[in-house]
Amino acid sequence: MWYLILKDFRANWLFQLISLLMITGLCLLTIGGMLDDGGQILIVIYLAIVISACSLTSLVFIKSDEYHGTESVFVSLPVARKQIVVARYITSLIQILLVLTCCYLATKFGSVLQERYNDPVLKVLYLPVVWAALLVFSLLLKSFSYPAYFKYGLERGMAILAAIHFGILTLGVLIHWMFGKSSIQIAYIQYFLEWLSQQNGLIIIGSVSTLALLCWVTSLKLSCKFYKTRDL
Amino acid sequence: MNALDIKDLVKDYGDFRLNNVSFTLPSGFIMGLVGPNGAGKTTIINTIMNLVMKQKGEVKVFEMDHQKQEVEIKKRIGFVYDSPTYYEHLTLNQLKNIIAPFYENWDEKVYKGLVDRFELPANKLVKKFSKGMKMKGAIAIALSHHADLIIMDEPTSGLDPIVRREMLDFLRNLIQDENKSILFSSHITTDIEQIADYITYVLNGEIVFSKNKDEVFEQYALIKGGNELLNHHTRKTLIGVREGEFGFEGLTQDVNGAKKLFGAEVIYDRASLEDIMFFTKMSSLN
Repeated sequence: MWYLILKDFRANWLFQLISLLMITGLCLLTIGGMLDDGGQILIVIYLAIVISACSLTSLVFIKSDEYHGTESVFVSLPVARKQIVVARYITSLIQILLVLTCCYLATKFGSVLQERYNDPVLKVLYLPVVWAALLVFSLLLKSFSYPAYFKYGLERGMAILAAIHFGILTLGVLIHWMFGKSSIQIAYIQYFLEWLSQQNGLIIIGSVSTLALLCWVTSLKLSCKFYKTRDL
Repeated sequence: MNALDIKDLVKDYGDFRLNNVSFTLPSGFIMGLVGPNGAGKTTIINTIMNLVMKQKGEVKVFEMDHQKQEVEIKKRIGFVYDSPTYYEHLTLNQLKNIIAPFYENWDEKVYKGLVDRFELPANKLVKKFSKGMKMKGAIAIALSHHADLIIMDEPTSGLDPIVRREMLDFLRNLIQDENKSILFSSHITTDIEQIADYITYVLNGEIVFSKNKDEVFEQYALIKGGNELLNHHTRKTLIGVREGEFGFEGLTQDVNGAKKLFGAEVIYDRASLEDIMFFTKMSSLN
């Protein structure tokens, strides 16, 4: 198992390093821009960049194996397919943690560089809970997308997921268009937000993390099941 | 003991079906899996290696089920693809460093010996290797863990004659160790004729025959004679007939029967594997 995780980093260390450097650079630039403009909207953009970086970086190794056609080489080695899937999940987790670490350090370093470490705009980005939430969210995204990759391969899997996302988005827009102004719907949302704000933060984080972990484990089992019977 | 035992293997792709494929490779022998392009050779090999999932049938390697004891079996197999696929941005030694830890029996001495023997530049990027060098590199990696069964998919296709000859000599020497067995597919019939002990002929996803090489060449013969000898009755003894202006040429798998029928009026030649493939294919088209 350890060698399966290690082989990805050994074979693709340069791509991984370059992508991490690019993400760090992008974060530094965004932090700089955010401090110059002082805009809160940029924080949302920044968080979106971090989540996208987590999502994309962890695909580097799968893409590399598909590109070089090495997937079947590793399946022909004395390893079980289940081990390959588990190794992929662990590798992804490591990659997500690496990206989050780079982004966190870039946030700190960027603010120090601009001598605005205590700027209120950045206050939210120093909160460990925000980074924990980003980790959980990234894991949730992975747990939804990985079974599709293991069943159909990266390219087909991405196409299928993109179609599903587009469908959900269209459905959301339609629902909003049809019922958006419904007072009942707004009341439900307000009620939910009020209820949420009254709950203990730690319990919510704990619950979401447990949910993410459950999704991760379910996703892993599903991926193992799909990959076990997939023709390469 | 059999290195490989396949019974009633079925894999259906819709437009292509591997239909009840059965054959056995005894330990210590070379089997050539021969057939035209698209006959199903690679599918058979990929099914043995669990890269493609069978729908029916039984595949036993070293008398173990190839799915239930997959890891145990793969420790003892050296596998070479038709077009070796590795990370091309790495050197051969870097690739070796990635693959070697997966094998408990990895032998660095054997690897270095093969690299030297094949005159491979182990510190050169794989993308700068020629096709022959890539194939040799793949073989060096596949054979450095003392595999008992070596499975090679079209190892000689696309190689120049010198490299091909080197490769065949190498395989012939390898089999001197009686514990090793080789299954190798090829559509280059002369390669199979040169080194195989057993020949399995696949056509349209079905096994035409799987026999000892000597038996194959004893059983089949090429018959050449005048066109006037061809009639409904005589045609029945021939598998595929090619008629020309000056006579016919046909393949028979019943030499004794043909001799009784044609007597000394025709010429009996030894059929090459290519002849067997050609006329069998011709017969399947009719």
